[in-house]
Amino acid sequence: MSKKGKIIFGIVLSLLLLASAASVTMGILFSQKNAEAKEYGERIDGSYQNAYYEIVDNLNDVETKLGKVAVLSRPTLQQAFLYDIWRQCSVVVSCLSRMTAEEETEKIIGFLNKTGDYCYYLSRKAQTDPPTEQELSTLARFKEILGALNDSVFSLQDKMASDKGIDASVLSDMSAMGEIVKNSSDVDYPELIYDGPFSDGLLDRKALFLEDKEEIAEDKAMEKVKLYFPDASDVKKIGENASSIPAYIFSFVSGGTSGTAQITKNGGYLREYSCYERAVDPQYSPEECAQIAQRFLTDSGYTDMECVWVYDSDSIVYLNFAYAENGVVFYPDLIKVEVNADTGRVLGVECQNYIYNHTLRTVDPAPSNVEISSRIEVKSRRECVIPTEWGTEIRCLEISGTYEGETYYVYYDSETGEEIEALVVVDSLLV
Amino acid sequence: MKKAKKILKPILCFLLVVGVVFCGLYMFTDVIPSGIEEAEAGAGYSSGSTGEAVKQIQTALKNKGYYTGKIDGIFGKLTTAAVKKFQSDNGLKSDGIVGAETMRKLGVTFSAGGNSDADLLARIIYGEARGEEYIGQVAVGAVVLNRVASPLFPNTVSGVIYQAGAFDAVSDGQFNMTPNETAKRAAKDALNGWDPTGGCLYYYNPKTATSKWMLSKTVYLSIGNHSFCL
Repeated sequence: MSKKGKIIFGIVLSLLLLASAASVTMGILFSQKNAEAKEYGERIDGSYQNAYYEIVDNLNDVETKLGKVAVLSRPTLQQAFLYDIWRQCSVVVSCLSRMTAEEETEKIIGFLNKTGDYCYYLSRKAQTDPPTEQELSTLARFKEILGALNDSVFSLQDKMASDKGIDASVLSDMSAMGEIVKNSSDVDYPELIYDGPFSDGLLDRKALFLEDKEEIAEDKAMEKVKLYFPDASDVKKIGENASSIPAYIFSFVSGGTSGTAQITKNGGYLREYSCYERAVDPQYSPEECAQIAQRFLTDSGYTDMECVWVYDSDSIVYLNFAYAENGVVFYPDLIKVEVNADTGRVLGVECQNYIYNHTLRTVDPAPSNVEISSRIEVKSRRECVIPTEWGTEIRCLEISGTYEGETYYVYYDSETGEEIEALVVVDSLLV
Repeated sequence: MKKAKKILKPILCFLLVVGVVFCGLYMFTDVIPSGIEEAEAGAGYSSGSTGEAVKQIQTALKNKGYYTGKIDGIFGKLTTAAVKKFQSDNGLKSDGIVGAETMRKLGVTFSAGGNSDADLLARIIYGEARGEEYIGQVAVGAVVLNRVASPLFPNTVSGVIYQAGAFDAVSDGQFNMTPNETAKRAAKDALNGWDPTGGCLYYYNPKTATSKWMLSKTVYLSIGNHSFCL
């Protein structure tokens, strides 16, 4: 071989060795990656199986406990079982949602949440008001549907055994079980529970504050924007909100910042305003921000509002205002305001609760006596009305006081004197 | 020479292909590790620390009357002295280091990948709607919270966000990006009860959505690229 030939042979050999080394390296990396992927697959399957067996166990328990509640006559155990059912339904919902989110799954989750909430409601009242015959027959219907659901879930075990773990087909079968709970449409859920803001019939919810207000045209609504935000420029309608508080949506620039406001079609009230502004160096105290917010609300047509909560976070002051009349604070009529403590500018207003709830009310006489815990050092008391989680209202006496360095608010039902809520203040600067 | 060229040509082509594949794998996948590990967030903030977090600490200290200096994001002598005074007044170890307990007492809510509701919400807002107007970002947070309250969905923020296939940002990994200040504020607003949608449970981008079930729902309002429905 000539010298030139040898050089070429050397180069070729080196390149071949390099290529072989690269191929081997890539092969190793790919096989490692495949092993990793397989391991992750196994872990996901393990997590699915864990969720599946949690579902099986808890569904089975719920079905059994629904039967037990019916045969008991004393409230103590009934209450415990009903509370357990609520808790275990929640566990099943959590596990199910980790596995699938198909349209049909929503039906199962809806059924389980409603069953759980119904039992929670019954457990809350069981001590003084045990389940009636009608309520027990509703529980029996739940038990029947849960039994069918339970059987179907259990039958998936065969498929899991014959196939390899929980695959797409098992998940799809699980979603399809929504068909079973479709038959639950005959269950008469008490209005008490699902009459709240997130009821199935949300769109039917009435905005009490706007009931007697006349509908205004778009140009009038635009004038309202300029009334509430006198420096507003470049006001443009960007859409409409067709929910149960119909509104025009406008974008505009105020204080040099672009923001969006919703003006109700009825009455032209500010429903919501929001914009983003950086805030880093507070120049206004929370008290001053509260005054700014209160003035803004009064100028926007929301009068007699009392500041009930203030929270200062990173130079943004969040304030809650509630309607107050004759010394009674109406917490359902709540408006939230956000003020930039750097500039003293209002950055956000949310009036949805006020618009839904504010109406003329008949206020009953104040309660004469309630039994207050001797451990709380009472600082103040006031009459108020609070919203319940199912959309009703309760007239209360609010006691605020301290215990071991923390501030608490305790609410007593004006009619019965019963303690109905206790809140601990985590972060608030009361103005 | 001709013979050598004949041998060299396919080998060079082969090497070129191997090189391109290798570079492709390096750039677009994590099959080949880059060897660069992200630094883990420190356990606290102290003298010498800088950045947005320090600004938040200074702001909180200023609000509480402990700090009179500039909000400049530099943890200097003034900030250290203010932290020490605050710690001493609040029964904490007066070491000038802002750790979890001092942050809690200060009411500073930022986190470096924590799992609070505010953090999860900020990440889903950033992952799903970072290009939207501020109101559109709050609206996405409100939809998550409306789902928490609805009987049709899981009952916790994490349950709703991690529901299998519920949010594209979780499936494609955008959920793991670090949210910006706007998304964090939008999350706070949503948690504070802001709901521009009036109770909507779904949203979709009409330009890209294909689900017949989703498209069949009545749209109650549109904000930016998202249509919101019940």
